[in-house]
Amino acid sequence: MGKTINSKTVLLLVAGLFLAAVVLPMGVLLFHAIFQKGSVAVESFTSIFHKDVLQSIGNSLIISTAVSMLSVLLGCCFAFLFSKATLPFSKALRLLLLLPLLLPSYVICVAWNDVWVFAGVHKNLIYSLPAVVFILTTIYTPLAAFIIQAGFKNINAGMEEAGMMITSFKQVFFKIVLPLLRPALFSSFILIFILSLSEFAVPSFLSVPVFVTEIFTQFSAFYNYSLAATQSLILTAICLLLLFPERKYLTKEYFFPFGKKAFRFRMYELRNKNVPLILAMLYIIFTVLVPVVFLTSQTFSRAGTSFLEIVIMLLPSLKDSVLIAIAGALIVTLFGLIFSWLTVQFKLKFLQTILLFVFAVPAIVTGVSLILFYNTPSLNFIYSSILIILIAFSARFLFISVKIISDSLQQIPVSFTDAAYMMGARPFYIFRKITLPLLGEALFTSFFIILIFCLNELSTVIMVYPPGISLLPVTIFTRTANAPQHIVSGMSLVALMFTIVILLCMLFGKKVLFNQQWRESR
Amino acid sequence: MYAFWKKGFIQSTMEREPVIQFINCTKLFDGKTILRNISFEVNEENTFTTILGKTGSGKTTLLRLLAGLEKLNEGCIYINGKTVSEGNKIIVPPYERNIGFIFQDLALWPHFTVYQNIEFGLKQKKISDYKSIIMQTMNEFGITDLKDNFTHQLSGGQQQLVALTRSMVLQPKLLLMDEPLANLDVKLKTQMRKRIKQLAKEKKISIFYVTHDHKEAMEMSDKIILLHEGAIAFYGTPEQSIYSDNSFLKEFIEV
Amino acid sequence: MTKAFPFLFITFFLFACTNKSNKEVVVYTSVDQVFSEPVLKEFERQTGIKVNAVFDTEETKSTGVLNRLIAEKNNPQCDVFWSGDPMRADVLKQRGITETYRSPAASGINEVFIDKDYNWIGFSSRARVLLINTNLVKPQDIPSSILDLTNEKYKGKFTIANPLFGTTSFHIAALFTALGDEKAKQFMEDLKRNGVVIASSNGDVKKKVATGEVQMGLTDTDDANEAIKEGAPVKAIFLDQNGFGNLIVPNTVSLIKNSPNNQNGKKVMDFLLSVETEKMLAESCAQMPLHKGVAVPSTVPSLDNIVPMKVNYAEVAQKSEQIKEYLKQWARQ
Repeated sequence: MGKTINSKTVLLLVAGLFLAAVVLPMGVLLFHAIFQKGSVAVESFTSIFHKDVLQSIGNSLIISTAVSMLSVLLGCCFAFLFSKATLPFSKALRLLLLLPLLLPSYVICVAWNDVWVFAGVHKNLIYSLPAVVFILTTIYTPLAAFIIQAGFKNINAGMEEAGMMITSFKQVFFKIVLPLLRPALFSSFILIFILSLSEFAVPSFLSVPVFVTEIFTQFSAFYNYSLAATQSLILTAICLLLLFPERKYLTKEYFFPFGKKAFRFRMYELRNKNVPLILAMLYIIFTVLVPVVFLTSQTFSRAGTSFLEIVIMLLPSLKDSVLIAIAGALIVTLFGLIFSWLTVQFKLKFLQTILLFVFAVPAIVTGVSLILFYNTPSLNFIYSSILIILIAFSARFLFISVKIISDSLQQIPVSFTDAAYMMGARPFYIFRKITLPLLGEALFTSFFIILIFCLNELSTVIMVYPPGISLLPVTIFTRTANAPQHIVSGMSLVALMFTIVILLCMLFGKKVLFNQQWRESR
Repeated sequence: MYAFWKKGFIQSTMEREPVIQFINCTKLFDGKTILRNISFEVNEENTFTTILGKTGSGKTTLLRLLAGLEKLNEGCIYINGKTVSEGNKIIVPPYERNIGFIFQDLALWPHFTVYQNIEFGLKQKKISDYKSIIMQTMNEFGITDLKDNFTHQLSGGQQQLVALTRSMVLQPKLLLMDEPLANLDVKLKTQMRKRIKQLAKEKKISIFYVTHDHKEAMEMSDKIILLHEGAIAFYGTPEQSIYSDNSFLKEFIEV
Repeated sequence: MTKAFPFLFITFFLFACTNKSNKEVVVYTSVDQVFSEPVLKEFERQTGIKVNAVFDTEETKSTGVLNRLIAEKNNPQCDVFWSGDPMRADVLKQRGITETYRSPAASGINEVFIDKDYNWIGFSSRARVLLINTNLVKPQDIPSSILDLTNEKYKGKFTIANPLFGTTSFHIAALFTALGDEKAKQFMEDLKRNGVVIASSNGDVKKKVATGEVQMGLTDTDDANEAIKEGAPVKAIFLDQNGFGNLIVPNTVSLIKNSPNNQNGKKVMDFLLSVETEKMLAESCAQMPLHKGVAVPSTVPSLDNIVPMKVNYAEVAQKSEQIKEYLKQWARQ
């Protein structure tokens, strides 16, 4: 529709440039990997038919499928309890549930391993595929809960009530609410599938061979970039296949009539509050509190370096980390918004495909491609500055942001902007006054989640961080080796507490900054 | 051939200058024809035209073309003798056509209060003292008390009035309404119909009113357009429609 | 919010572009930050040259710095690479990433620890040891040779780190050099048959032994030292003292070819190869000095008291490259 040529061109240019900055490095690496010395490197592709590689791909798929299904299921339950049911203590429970997502996965994995060894669990059970699935599920359940919660919030009470008139709650939930939640369910499924597919630390620590550890080995033991890059191409192809079901089921124009008649939100009174409350608490105790309590007890088990000393030791990296993570979350969310707008407005579905592709590339391959691309004299201003970290963040997380924001953007009826346009408002003004406020919740969610991811990102950042900058996950990770257990646990705790403080500040800031009065029910 | 034809048309407009004119308008969506070679004209000001048709017959698209929210694929649209859309170009953008649009879902912005909703358009027009205009119009529609409410706090009828007020403060010459009463109960519907009809008379505006309710069309219109699968199946006054033996019209009324 | 963006960008740009002067040097190291950082800080203090370091850890198999150095080949950012073992340094040499520097500070170091082209020079050494849990292993059951691990009585009770990586990889390569390929392969197969537990890293080996998850495991002296400091019931054993000897693993330092602060890089190398650094590392992580007559704490073993495995380090480094494909298969159990 009519947009002024100027702002549109500028926007497209900026978006294109940014996309190039993020996508080109990987494109170049893959191109070189596939076409070696003028011909297609067939043996790189046929390498996957090796028995071991096939087995690791099989493991990867089993883990990802199991983790994403379990997480979405559990996340859906929690999202319902937190957002649609009047569950006591839900705010505290919500925060507790989030804890595993706030720590780097290797810290959680080590904590669980300690717990299990302490509890005398048999070796064969610890170093196994189910253990990997268990740990990853505890990590990604809060992510699913978070995304699905946003989906619940956008369901108009009228739809549910219309159903309630005719049939039971159970029928309404399965026949009306769940189908309306489809975009949120799909989004969280895809995100978690890919995140667990490219998860390195947990399977590697528990010695479960997966495709990413296979790729990692090509890098770290054989320095074979081409083979690693080709294999990651195959990994991304697997991820792209995922988009087909999404396309098939979600192509129809599909939005919740946001303000059609009256936007109201329906809460459910639980008949028996105790059962779900106890179940939720049990889950949280057994999957969240156990490792955290274990970390705490390890920290204070031994005299010596005090907790305060650990805080002081980490203080410089805390500052750098926060600044860079906030900058990262801002940039990723800003471009998430731009790309969502482009995909929805101009039906540029391929943009999402490209971003998914970048997202699915294993972190280490992303790191190497960024080095190979940006480490040239002319691009040194990027490579030797924190810009390279911001680009790395974008490559890793832009897809997540676009997914969250575009889901929400699709729910805003075209008539809302058309009405403003009819009245002579300029496109940018419409965007600022109508679209942006309606996207507030999604933008906040995106910023919140991306910030958490940026604070914890290790695999790519450790490859590209400029000399002299210290980042929290890198510092903890590089100090973990050979540091006494209580210091390692202490550092993890400090990082955890610190992240919690930031998140609490954000939640508080949201209350002050965002006026969500219009969302409240009548 | 098209150019030649157009030339002939321009000469003819010198004599009559209809209020609204569609000439051979065709609109495609994803290769599917939504409107096929539509031509009609509305000759007098202050005409209430109803567009009737089943779901998917192209009613809404016709309105959106007239509003300038969609481009044509072929043909021309004229308002007061001025070309507003031609071929696949929008000549006059929607906001310069002096048209009010009431959307099917009303498109009341949920994050604005009633007052802010109404104020929005006036702010764009850079009118200095618009407050008095708003207060006066809100008074006319009897919604002054609602001014600080969010729109979801209103009843269906109240929302209807807010949407009308929002359009009317901009003093349009032409008001397009896309099934605005679909969500109201029968009693309210009757009330609102009267209100709209009265409004059209008072303000001397032309109205294009989309509905699939045949009775509504008979009761309110000066002219009826019946769309069938993207083409005009009938165009005339309500009286003419009663005596017409147009098969599409008959079929439509029976349903 | 929109107004803040340009401001943020500019701030970060300035933030990123400042601090460029010739009084600095860039060091990449795979040696754990806990030990390497104090040494680099001391260099900073003495010379006034700012050290910008990129740390990595053997726990990640040093993938970070090494892949980074390889990828940066055409536009080097780093001046000096401080490696925890000669193997990685040799990988860089073979790829033409390092250059010759005959540091005067290396004069007191035995030339078996130095690359023949001076592309890397060894200093402070760790040793590979067998860490045993003293609660679980009786003194008479302690093996004396690495080859004893294939004995039935240790079945499923010992661990080594993934031999594809780090010093473990170097250790196996040294065995291949010392025993010959055929015998070494037989040994590896026997290990597997005897139920070896593969740990994710040497640190993980330490932990498994300290917690009693397994009875014993092969690891490095620094890890062993850490376990002892933590008060775990463990003891480090030097193996094959009556046979082919125990493997010593020196740190190495290399100068990167066409590096941006080449001269300062040489100063860092001289400092790392000095007696002073060897003394610091002996105190902080029990590393054995390669210079003669460096005063060390009593807990640090001395090269005078242990029988070292006599191998050509460059040859071992090359061997480890050759046997990787085999080890990858082996590690998959």
